[in-house]
Amino acid sequence: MKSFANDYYSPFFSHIYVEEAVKGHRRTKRILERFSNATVIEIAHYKDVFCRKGQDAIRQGNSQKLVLAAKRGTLIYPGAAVCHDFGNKHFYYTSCMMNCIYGCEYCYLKGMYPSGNIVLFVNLEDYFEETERMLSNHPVYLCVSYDTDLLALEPVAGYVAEWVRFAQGKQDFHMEVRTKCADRTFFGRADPTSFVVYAFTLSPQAVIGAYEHGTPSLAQRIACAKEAAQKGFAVRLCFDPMIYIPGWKEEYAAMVDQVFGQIPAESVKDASIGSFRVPQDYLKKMRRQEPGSAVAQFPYQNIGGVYQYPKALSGKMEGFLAERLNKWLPGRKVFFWGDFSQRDV
Amino acid sequence: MLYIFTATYYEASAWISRYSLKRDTSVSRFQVFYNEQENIRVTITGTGMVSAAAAVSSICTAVLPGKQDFLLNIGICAESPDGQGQIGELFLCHKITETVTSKTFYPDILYRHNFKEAELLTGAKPFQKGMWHRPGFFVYDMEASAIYQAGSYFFSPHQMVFLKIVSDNGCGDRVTPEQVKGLCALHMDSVADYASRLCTIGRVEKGQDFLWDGAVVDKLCCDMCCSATMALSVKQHIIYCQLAGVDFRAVIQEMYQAGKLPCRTKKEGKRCFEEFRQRLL
Repeated sequence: MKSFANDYYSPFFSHIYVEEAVKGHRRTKRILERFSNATVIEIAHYKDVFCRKGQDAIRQGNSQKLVLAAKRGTLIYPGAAVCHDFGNKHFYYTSCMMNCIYGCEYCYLKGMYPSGNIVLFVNLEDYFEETERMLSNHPVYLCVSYDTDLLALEPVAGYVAEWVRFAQGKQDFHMEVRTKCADRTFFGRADPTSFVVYAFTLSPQAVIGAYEHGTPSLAQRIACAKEAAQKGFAVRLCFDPMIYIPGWKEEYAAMVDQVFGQIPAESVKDASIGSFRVPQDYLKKMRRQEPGSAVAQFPYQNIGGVYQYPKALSGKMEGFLAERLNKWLPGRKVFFWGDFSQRDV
Repeated sequence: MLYIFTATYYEASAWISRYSLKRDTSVSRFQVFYNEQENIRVTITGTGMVSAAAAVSSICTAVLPGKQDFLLNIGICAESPDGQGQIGELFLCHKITETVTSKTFYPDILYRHNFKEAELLTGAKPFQKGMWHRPGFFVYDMEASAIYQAGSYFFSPHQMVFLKIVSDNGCGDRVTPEQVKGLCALHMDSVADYASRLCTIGRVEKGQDFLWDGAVVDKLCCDMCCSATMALSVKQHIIYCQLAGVDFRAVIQEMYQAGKLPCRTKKEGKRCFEEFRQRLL
């Protein structure tokens, strides 16, 4: 029965939905060439597939389909209050890809999107144009891998490399690429630049094993971050979200020791700490979809419309990790997710 | 359960004989055949979109489907005149376009299968050569879009499967009932095998469902004199502990032994819950 259970889903990207408007686009053609065995289905608009009612995002996650489309309307958004701005005044994010190939049980995308499928917007030039327009008015700090993990899909999309090429030589432009990926080949090919920060999300192996399905192990992520740092890339370590598990203190302490046992602290640009938090509407949906997930079913407290650990617990968790990190990193290099409701975004 | 919908009796007859289905006499509006042991229910909808939607809605309201159930619409279809299909060929439909409204529907193809796939057009009239000009290969029926729309009130897109067998290409040749029976019987083995796999998938996935201990929660809430809001919080704590492997039963037992439970007042209950919460997390 176990082998049957592993076997009955169609392979990843067995079907690719393509908006009529982008079927001739060079990126569409390149991706379709890579998946030459996929069934290609023409659609009028990505929402016809992505926003169908009653989709089961969890089951779809076992056989993700790819949707190739063009993004219209708003392309770049102001950074959300629940996210770190790392001291940047003009903090924005963009989603040239929606959804992620990883299956983290606590991921807010399960509450945010109606589908488990992946949408890739091929009109990247429009994003670049919009960024240029904003840069003509003020500096921009742009997170390009928030509602997705762009680096994890780099072999298919190549979008991180394209963003890096775009960013080169731009005054006042800084970019963050957040990832749980441990694909070292990217760092073997790309050139390090100071204006692009690669932010590695790290969790104790116990959390990865329990909740971060399909993601690289902690050891693999550390090895990748180490190599990136050694090659001169700006490396950020994100201990965010911190997830409560029984024995969390020992697990997080061991993780910090493992990280700095291998990555020289001076090669790390900065780090962030933040205990798990999620908007109330997202959590309600996550709990419906994942009735058997301990991390979704934790009895969080609703504070100002955001579900989070009880104050005493989150304070204890973040304080403990900060103390451990301070052995390796100066306080100015460690950022906290603070009182978001009072922040001027 | 497998909810099968066919437009005519001839499209259903192979299922009826293979699984020894019995007529459900409690349903008078549509012909329904079932076998409780095999977990199959076949409904003859009649031809056309309105009949099909009415049948799906009626049957699924009477016997409510769950997450482990599937809807299967199987029957004959026409193919586009310039098509690549042959008479008797079977297609799994990944896109359904309703010609009257131009609305499109996309059943999820999550599970492995060995069928060819095609786009399906659903129209209000029988297909005739020249009535519908569009490039590319498609098959044509008169029910699927309505079955999808009515079915989507009860099923997720991955639970709805549309299988169509080409009977003609709209050139005007009449398809006889015997031909319909023959075409459907031709694919019965492969379709039954696929249907059986779907049922197994339903059972496997249902077996993975989490069942929380409602009896413990009800007693605890009663003994803590919980308000409705506090009861929800107690329930959430118990669910979490059960999933995370936290031994909440031992904590409850200790609190009973220490005389902290049952509580006599709501105020006492609140204090008791606070202690319970702190000991769990």
